[in-house]
Amino acid sequence: MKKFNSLIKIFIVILILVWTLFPFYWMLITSVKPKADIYDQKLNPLLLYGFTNEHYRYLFEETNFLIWYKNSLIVATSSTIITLIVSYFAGYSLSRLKFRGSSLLGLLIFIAYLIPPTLLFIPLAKVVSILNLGNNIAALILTYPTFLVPFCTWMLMSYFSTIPYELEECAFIDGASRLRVLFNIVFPVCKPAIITVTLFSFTLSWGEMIYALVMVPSTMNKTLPVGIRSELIRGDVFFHGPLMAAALLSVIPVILIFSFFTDLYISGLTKGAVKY
Amino acid sequence: MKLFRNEEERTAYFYLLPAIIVVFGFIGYPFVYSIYLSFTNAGIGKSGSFIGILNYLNLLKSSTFRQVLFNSLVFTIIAISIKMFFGMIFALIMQHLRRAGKLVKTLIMLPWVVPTSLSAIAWWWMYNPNYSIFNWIINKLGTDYRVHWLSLPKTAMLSVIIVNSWIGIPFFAISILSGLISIDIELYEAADSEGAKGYQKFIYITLPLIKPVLAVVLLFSTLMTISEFNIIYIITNGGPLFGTTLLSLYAYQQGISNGVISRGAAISIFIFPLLFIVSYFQLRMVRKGISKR
Amino acid sequence: MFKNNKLYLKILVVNIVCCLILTLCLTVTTAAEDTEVSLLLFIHYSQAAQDTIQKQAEKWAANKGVRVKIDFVEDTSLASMITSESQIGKGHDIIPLRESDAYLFEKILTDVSSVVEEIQKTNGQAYDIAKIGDNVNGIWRGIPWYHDTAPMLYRKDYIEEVGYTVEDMNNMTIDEFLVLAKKLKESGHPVGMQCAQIPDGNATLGSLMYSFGSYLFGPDNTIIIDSKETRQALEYFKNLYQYMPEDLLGWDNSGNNQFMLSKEGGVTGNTPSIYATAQDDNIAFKDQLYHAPNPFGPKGSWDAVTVWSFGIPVYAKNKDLAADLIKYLLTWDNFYEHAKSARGFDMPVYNGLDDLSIWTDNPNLSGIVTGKDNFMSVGAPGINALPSAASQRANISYTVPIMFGKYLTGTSIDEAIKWTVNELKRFVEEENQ
Repeated sequence: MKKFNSLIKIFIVILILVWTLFPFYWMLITSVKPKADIYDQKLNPLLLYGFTNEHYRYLFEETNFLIWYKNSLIVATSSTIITLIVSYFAGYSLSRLKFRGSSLLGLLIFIAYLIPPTLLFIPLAKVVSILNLGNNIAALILTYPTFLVPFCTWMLMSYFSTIPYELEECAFIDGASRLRVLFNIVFPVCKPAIITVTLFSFTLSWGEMIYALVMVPSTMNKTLPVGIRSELIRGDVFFHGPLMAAALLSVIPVILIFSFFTDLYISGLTKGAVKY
Repeated sequence: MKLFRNEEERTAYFYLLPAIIVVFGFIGYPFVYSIYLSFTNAGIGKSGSFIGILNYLNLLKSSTFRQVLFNSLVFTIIAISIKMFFGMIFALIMQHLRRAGKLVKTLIMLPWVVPTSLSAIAWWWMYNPNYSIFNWIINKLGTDYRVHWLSLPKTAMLSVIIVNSWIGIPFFAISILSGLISIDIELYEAADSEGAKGYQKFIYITLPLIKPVLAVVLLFSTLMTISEFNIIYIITNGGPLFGTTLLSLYAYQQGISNGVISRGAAISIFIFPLLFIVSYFQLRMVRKGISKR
Repeated sequence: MFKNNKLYLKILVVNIVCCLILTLCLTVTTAAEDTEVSLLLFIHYSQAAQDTIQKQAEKWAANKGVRVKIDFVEDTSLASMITSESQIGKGHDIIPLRESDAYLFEKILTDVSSVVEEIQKTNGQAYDIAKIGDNVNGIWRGIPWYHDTAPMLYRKDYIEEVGYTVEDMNNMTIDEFLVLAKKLKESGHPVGMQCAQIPDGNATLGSLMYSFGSYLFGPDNTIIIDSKETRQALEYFKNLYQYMPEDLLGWDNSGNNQFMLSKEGGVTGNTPSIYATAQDDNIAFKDQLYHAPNPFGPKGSWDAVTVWSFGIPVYAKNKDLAADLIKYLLTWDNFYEHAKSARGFDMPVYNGLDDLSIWTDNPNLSGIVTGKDNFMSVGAPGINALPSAASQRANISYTVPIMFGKYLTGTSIDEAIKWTVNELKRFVEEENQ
């Protein structure tokens, strides 16, 4: 009976994994399928009848894929760092410090999170041009925190509240300054939340499309999502092979980072929620 | 007159300064400006004049906008239900895995971790009218029927709900799993000793104890689902016949693609109260839990 | 306390300075802004055509001692970019205009009448269809560049299978076309005409409506869509729809390309990009792809034509240089170099540039050349109406495909037309505000 149970369990797990991973498999297989095979309706599309690197070659040699990759890396890393610093300090002070206006500020930051990007679009573009950053990825580095900071602050706030205050109390009694406490005591303990916030910001910046689409149109400055969609689709001709290859290569860094920090990420994400 | 009452306050505001700059400068000001825009008839090339609530009235009169509102409602309710249901099932399964548990967890999280604008491209290709892999599989299983994933309004809505669910289930699953793990085993043991059956344990022990987690996850996910943009933009662009147009996409199309920015602003502002109501309840839960000194 | 103050300040300053440095680093890496003429263009399906333009522009820039930069973006994002540039007040020196965009963007386009006059001196008069789209109330706001047309495209081998010849295809009436569609469906290689909310949909359905005499607007923005001819067009298309693939409504702009290139498709309506792709990819049946005029309706056969033009926005920094560059790109040699690299996609719009041998010498392409008299600009309001901001709004909102789509998916014909009338009314109202 027990064996049957575990067989069923394994079967269900396999089903779940197929559902979860199939799109990735499909990306992979399309990216190495010869072009004729991709569009040949008589062949079994799940199998490979030939292998080609023509799509990857096209991607690297005839598009600016690597440049877009570099741009996305710069934008995502910078936005993440800025967001991390800003939210860490903000989250800590909102959660730990007592001061006038703290509830109001907390509320405002949360409301800021609710404001949809389409609403901020044009005014932000105006701000960007006043700062003379039109068509420059710095524009994105400045505007991405607008949707990253509110959420990350809020998440860190929740996580801080699950850390017992005694830790800091002890340190204060021992004469540590607040800053020292922030870095040496609190930081190590909230590593999971830091990881979560970092990964979250990185992923969101990496995949952001709308601001990048309009604020950075030059092919040399484009980020990945924009470049992939705009230059692998020319008018009414689609390059599905390179499209899938590009999509696959673009998700790999995120997957890699995530797989190193899975446990911490998960606990950072859920600890705040579970405590309620 | 001292600006700050005490050292703690001063510290707080120093720490908060960058966040305040971001929130007020880059969010607050544009937000207020957009609200102003929504009361004008600004468009390309004309800065427009004040027209009061005319934009809002026109929207409510427009059958397309009403359809967009309806779409958003349908999309959110169905997608959330699916994600909740399957998230629970996934979580229950994962709870009983011992070996390879970590690997499975990592793999299951992938759809949620990967940027939506990139995975949507893969789904778009899978739904392709001429080469859909799903139709091929369905044909292999026997029937000749060809699902028109993106061609009819109702099936297109189903298609994007599927993608949104694929992305969102892992989030539900992992959060619920954490909630499940934190339930004291002794409770189950006590129930066992009183002869409780499996489903009884579930209803009377499990569910009540993970309600808080469910509530938080539910509300957070609702916020994200209502403002879904990337998936729709990439896979259907709102079509066919506005069948999958949601609020944020409609705002973008009207305001920016069509150039009538005042109308776009008005539509965006409709989203805001929806989100606010939903999150008000969440905020109450959060406030209860934050421990201050 | 005093010590702590200093520390806070230090941390804060370090924070801000780091961010600023980061941002400045990136700002500095962008080249200085002195005279650089920038063009915004759409991504052409042919990379070779893009390269040609780039090369020509750079040659011009070298001669003038300035720099030039071209940004190629997907044509669906053009409107968004122009909207945000005009709001900001800063952007490219040259922007592309399609069909009657000049009416939509009239207020942000400079008067380029003098440039067009000069060009017409060497290139001959611009085609009427170009003038209608670019000349707003007597003032030229756009400088016509080229046009592309979407005639019928078919597989010669498939139509021959069911007993038709190239001659037949060149002279087909819409009723004969219906018969052909039925036969092709039975033979497994159906007709697939675009009707979704995409530019191809505007083109196919627009020319269909014209061939019935059904129009959106009359003179002075009067709405005349509610007519017997419109109903005839809708009915006809519904009849045709039963012989076409069911997922037609979900096709994107490449849907019909893939349809034809997948060996399944028999007939569609498209620009020569399908033919060109087949040639480039050396597909087995590449020489079986032929073009023909659209079927003849009660009011004739109409070519759905898109005229692309250059515009110089009011926020351009280098207006005179921009005008000069445009003139350079439109010289006979440069235009033809570009047209050849675009493989017959881009056709001339000036009377003097009328050498059509690239097309007429090629039997596969000769069906495209039908004569200017039956040009219909995609999104045109009506045969007796001038374009307007409202008509171009209807065009970019895909109002016509939506009307057809509603009727095809079950809405009654009256409801579908009523919806369209309301939409058009809204566009007119917004134009007049």
